[in-house]
Amino acid sequence: MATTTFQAGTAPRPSLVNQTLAKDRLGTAGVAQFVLTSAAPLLVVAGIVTTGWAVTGVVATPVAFIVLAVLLGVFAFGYTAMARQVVNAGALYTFSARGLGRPAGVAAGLLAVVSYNTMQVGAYGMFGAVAAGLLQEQFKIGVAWWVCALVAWAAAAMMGGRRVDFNGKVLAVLLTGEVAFVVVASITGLSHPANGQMSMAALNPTGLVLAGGAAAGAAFAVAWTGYVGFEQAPVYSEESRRPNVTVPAAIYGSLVLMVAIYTLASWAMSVAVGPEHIVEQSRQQSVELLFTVAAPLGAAVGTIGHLLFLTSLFAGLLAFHNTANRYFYALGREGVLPRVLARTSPRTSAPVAASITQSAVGFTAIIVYAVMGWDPVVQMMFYLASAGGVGVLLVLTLAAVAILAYLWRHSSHGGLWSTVIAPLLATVGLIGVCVLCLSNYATLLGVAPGHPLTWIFPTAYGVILAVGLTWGLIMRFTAHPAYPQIGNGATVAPATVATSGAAR
Amino acid sequence: MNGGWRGAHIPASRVADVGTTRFGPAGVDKKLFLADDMFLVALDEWIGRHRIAPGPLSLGIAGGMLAELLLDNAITLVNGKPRPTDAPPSSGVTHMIRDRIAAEPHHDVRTWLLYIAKTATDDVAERLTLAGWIQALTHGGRIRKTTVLYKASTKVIAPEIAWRALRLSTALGASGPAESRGVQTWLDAVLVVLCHAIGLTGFLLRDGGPECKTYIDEIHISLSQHLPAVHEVATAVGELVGTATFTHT
Repeated sequence: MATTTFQAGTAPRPSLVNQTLAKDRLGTAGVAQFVLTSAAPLLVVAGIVTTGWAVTGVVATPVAFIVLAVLLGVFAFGYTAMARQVVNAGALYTFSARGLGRPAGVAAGLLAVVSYNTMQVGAYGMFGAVAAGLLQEQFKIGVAWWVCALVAWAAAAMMGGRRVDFNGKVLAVLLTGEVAFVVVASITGLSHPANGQMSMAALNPTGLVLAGGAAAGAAFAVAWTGYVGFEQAPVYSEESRRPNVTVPAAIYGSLVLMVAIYTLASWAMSVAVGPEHIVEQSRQQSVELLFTVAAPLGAAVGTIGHLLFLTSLFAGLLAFHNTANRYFYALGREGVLPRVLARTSPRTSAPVAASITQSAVGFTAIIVYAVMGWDPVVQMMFYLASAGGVGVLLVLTLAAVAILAYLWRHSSHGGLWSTVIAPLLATVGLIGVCVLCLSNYATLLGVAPGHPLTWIFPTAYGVILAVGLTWGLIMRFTAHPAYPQIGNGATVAPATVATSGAAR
Repeated sequence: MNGGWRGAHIPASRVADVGTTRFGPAGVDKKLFLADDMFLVALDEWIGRHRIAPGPLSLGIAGGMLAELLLDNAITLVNGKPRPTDAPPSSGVTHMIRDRIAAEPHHDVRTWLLYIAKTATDDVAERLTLAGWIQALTHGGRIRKTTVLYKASTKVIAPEIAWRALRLSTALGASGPAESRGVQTWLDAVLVVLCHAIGLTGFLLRDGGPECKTYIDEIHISLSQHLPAVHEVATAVGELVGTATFTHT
């Protein structure tokens, strides 16, 4: 926003300060790129959608993408309205603290950090399986999936700990390639329909109401994992040229792009294979299904697609590694978690303690899965991505309630739609989606009702929230010096900590 | 307080003595501005690079420059926004900053820190070069990324540069004899809180115990009471460093 300086009798001059700062700031495309890199479109389409079909047996995933996109679009009205008033990089849990109180913020923060860690760890399983498969197919080299997963782990640990990022232009090229491959593969699938008929069955909304909501619960959980990452846009508010415009534009632009890609690709795969065979073929071909649909394009395109799949996977797991680091760092800097987690490398400013912690979690998970012989695609990637995704969905829902409460109290800015109606609709919708997901975990995981996993994961969410809430209340009633800083995230200054701690 | 500690009870009457000049070693200009001291404390003079990443360093130096203006009484803080006064700044670099503040008085401290940080390191490097402390050596070319190394201008100066950080470590109780412990001037107090804001105290206190961190807390308390505007700048520096780490992670 160009702020002008005025002198009497002269034309307004642009602000040199604003112009100087704007040069290095992000535009809409820059913020959207961060969002889409986290979302990893090719990973979603080739990995999560196909595995979702295989595990849940629910065909109506394309419909779920559309319904969720509309719901998240409504949510974004209140989200961005609050982001204009609460300029803080902490986003979801910061809003929870400001809207529902600091103890609720602690609960949301803890669930967020555990959920993002869980999603990130799940990605190692998919990477390991895909890389091992590629090495076997292309080079006839037999390598265990966990070896490939450990290579990705080491690379992510090194890059995250030293703040080594992919060059922005390289990321943009890879992201463009991903999207292009998905679009081209989808067009190929639609132009080669099974039995010569372009079936609309996968787009039929009635597919979501089967089995008393079980289908909807599972489909929404799968679809939501495709959108995780869009909620990170406000993190870049202070890095944006015009936060009030850039962040909303990036959110809506990303949502439109994601729903278009995901819906088109998942529908196209069902058309190419036939909706009555999509579940069976997903179980047989797993992550290769999209590449089978793209086979008419030739072997070279298929190889490029596989390579882009690997880079998408790595970019996605690195993005989640960084997201988990941010939460560890912010909660450590606030003092909610041990302050050692806020320790950074002097030379790189990378949050090394957070990165080491997250890397330790990932390493442990890979070793456990390898030793136990558990499947890396279904039991590691899909289970953990779904569980982590539902956790983030719960945090998003908490934030929706908080946004409603906050904007109700501070409604001087913004219209009725963005401060009351949209937040209310979003809250009701997200609570409904959460209830469907949690009550249909058996369908989501593809296990029998009553299986231990159907109550272990939902119980874990409740335990984490309860622990966070309890710790927040303890901090409040013991006048813990860090309590006033809850919700300020990484903006907590050492000076503030020093004066609050020494004043006790 | 342990024996030998002078504590942070810098006499209130000495607030009026605050200035931005020091006496440097023989052969160099006998002025060492606060931001210059920040630069030298963070510098590893043997390899020519700073011990802190460029982002936090530039914010710390920018904080030092705003602190110089406040200590010169060339600006005041009104509701978190710098306002120019009639008193002249001590250096040409801060004079230009004060003029820009006068031209655009609507920005807050955080915005000024981000703006000043864009060129702060280079501006202070130039000031120190002209004063005879350092020389900037540029490496790299078409293939390798261009880097700038800051080396001591002469061999005699090198230990004087190293002394800037060692002096602070000693004052904070992390090294040296007990009788040398204790920050003695408000300039050093400001320098300590700025170093704390950008994460440099880990290096300064590497040989110290937990009592050193407690002492830094006490310096913060004293500064917030006697020089609240400067402490506000240091707080803003810390906030920006945290935000930058969060966003760029």
